[in-house]
Amino acid sequence: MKGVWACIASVLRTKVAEQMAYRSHFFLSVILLIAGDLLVPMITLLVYRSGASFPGWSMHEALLIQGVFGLAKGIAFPLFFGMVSSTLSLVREGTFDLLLLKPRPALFMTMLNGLDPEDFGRLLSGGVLFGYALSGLPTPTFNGWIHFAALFAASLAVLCAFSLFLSGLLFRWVGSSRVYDIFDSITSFGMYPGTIYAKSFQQLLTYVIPVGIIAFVPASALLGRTGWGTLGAAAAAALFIAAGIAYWHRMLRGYTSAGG
Amino acid sequence: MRAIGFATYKEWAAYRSHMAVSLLVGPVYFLVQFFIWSAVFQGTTSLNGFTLEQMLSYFGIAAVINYLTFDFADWNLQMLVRSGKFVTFALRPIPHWLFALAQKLGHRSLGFLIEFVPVSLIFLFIFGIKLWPTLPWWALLSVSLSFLMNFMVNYCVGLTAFWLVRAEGVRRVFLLLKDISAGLFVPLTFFPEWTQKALFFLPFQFITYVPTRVFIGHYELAGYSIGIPALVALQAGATAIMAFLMLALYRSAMRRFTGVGV
Amino acid sequence: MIEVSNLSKTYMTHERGHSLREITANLIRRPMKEVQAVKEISFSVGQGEMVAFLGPNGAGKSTTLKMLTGVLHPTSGEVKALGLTPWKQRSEYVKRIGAVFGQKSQLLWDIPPVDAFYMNKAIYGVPDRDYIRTLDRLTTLLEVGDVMRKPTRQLSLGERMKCEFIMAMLHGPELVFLDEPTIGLDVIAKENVRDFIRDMNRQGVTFILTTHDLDDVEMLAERVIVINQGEIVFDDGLNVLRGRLGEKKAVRVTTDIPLPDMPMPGVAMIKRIHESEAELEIDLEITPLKGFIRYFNETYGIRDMSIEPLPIEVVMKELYIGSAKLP
Repeated sequence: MKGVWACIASVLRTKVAEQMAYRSHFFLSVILLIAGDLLVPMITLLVYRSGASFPGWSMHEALLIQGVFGLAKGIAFPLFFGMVSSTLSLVREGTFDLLLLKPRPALFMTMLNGLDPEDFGRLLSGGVLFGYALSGLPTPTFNGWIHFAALFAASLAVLCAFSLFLSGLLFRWVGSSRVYDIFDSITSFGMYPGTIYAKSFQQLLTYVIPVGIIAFVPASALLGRTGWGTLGAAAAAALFIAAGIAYWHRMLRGYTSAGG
Repeated sequence: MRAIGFATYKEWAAYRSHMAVSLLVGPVYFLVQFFIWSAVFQGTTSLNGFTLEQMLSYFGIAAVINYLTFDFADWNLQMLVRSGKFVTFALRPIPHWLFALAQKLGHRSLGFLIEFVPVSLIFLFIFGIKLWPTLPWWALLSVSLSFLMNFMVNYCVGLTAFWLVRAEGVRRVFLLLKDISAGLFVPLTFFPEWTQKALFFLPFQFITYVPTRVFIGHYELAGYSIGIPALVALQAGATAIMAFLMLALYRSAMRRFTGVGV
Repeated sequence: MIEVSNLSKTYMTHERGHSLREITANLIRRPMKEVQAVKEISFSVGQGEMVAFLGPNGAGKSTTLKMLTGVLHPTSGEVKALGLTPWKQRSEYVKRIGAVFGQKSQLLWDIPPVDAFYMNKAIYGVPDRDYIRTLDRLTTLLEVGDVMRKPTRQLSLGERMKCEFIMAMLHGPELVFLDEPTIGLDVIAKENVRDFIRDMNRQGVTFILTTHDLDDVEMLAERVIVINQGEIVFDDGLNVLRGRLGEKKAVRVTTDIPLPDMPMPGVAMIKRIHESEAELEIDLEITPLKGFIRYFNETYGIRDMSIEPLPIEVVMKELYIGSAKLP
């Protein structure tokens, strides 16, 4: 286990050094990430400013969901989501094999290769949004925080699972950067209050393709809107990530036995 | 010109699965919009001059127009400049912008078949969006002009690579602002009054907002309400100015290329 | 050290049509074709050997190497290397092997090699003391003490290659795979790299070398395995390969009197450069060297001459064309 942390620390250190070689580029990218993440909140703001609303949700409550989304991305993206771009480029260039020559599990190596400190910048936009949203809301209860923490972990698991599915897909579907569009479009369901969707659709978004768990479910917990029942969602997240890991390994096996 | 377009068409046909992703992505985004606006309109019948039905038409039409005019000339050009491959174009008898335009034509003809037609059918039959323009000829003209406008704006962004070699970040920020100001994410009438005034005088509205409005048959921005023929004339004027700007920028980029040898 | 028996690899690929009708049909159903990349090959490599593994493009060479490094699963057959089955015990196995690819860099472009080394140290779990000692030894040997602290993008190709070697050797591998290790290098850099490989080999490291540069083979390998169309067509010492050339010499000669097309029996004209300058091939069994020189000097008048053994290129060509399978 110590070895694992040593690897992560050492790779992160190198990646930071790498990005510092182009400092201005680095800061610009971070600004861009933040701007991109603030797009949906901006639209939400415009809607509320026009006097309309999501029924049953105040503006601060709606923004809280989007803030949680930003925070979850801010942790999951630098750690896991880089897997997608590393499989994308390594498989296309035929250098994925180099990762298999390292004495660590292939999945771990892929994750290491994809570590991306730049994406921590999203914590900033997520954090600001989260703070702003909370400032306009009654203070959450202690119970709410505990509940939120557990569900936030589930949210990270869901994002990690998405990374695994997309990365696995790229073993077969070589070089398609459109996987990002797939991710963005599907997860955009998770940026709004779940109650705007039809009932059956809500179930689908919680238990089958659990994008609701990324932000809506944890944010509701913090708002004290749900009971412990939502921990069922955590189980769905656990299942989802298990499926993601299994899928990734299946695709890897396909890659190593087909070769090319 | 035709040969280049056709070659691009064939080149991308090999990646048709990449393009076909739009069949998933387009309807999924639309579904999100559908839910959002259905919820928002529960408390009101009209919002910034839109009814729910008009709002959904706006997004549906903007999405399919985007398939017709989609562009990545900026990315292509900056990649050529940065990798030094641009030199092979400097040796060809036609200017690169013409080559890039032909490429875009080829790429979009494929997009027409793989993205525009199927997604339009989905919108038409599954979501029941009224996709037939009120004034078909004006709409066609407007979309063609927006095709050129989008290309020229992006091409100018790409041309900056001759001066700013490592500035993808800046370019991407600019393009995001372009998409917002074009009305791709939310109709421009949602913005505060003074922003609308500024947007009215920028070229970006002609990329998405104007053609979508021409489709719907009714235009309004910053308090101005303009008839369709006048609007398209305005659009043609803006496109001509942009073309002039692009050619000027292209010429000075070529001077820099041959002089400094980027 | 390595035991390979009856190793085979079969791929399924899509058959692609060319005519419009075929392409349209392919959208619906794509016919599959079986390709046998490697056919039942067997060989073994002993501790401390330096083996050149050669073959023309597409002969099954890289497929075999991928299976030997544990990256690819074979269709059938066995490999025991360092007592392990590479693709089954991958992590354990790759910890003890190294690999250098002339065309796939393992260094990181924007940061100094030494940082990349440090990263590898963490991944391989090399203890601090061993790391410092090995790095010290290798940097002295390759003379890259200052170089490795500069960003990789500022290094020359030769310096970069040296650093690739350090990267691959830091964890003290017993078996090292080299793929085109001297590609693109200048003469001096090539020599440095070859010297280093020889040094390491003397210290007991086993090397498997694949390359298209036959100078690498002549200067490094003791044994040569040639694979063509998925089968081993030659597996023996380099001197045996040279022996296949027969007792022949290549001669380049300049004379006073113009040379005829058939200057003397047992001497073949390979290439005429000028009317009195040519490259010849002498079959020593018919015409001994002494006789050749005397006859030539008396008949044509030798002005300048150089004698060389025939390059192994000649045999390789024969093996690659593949019709003449050697016993």
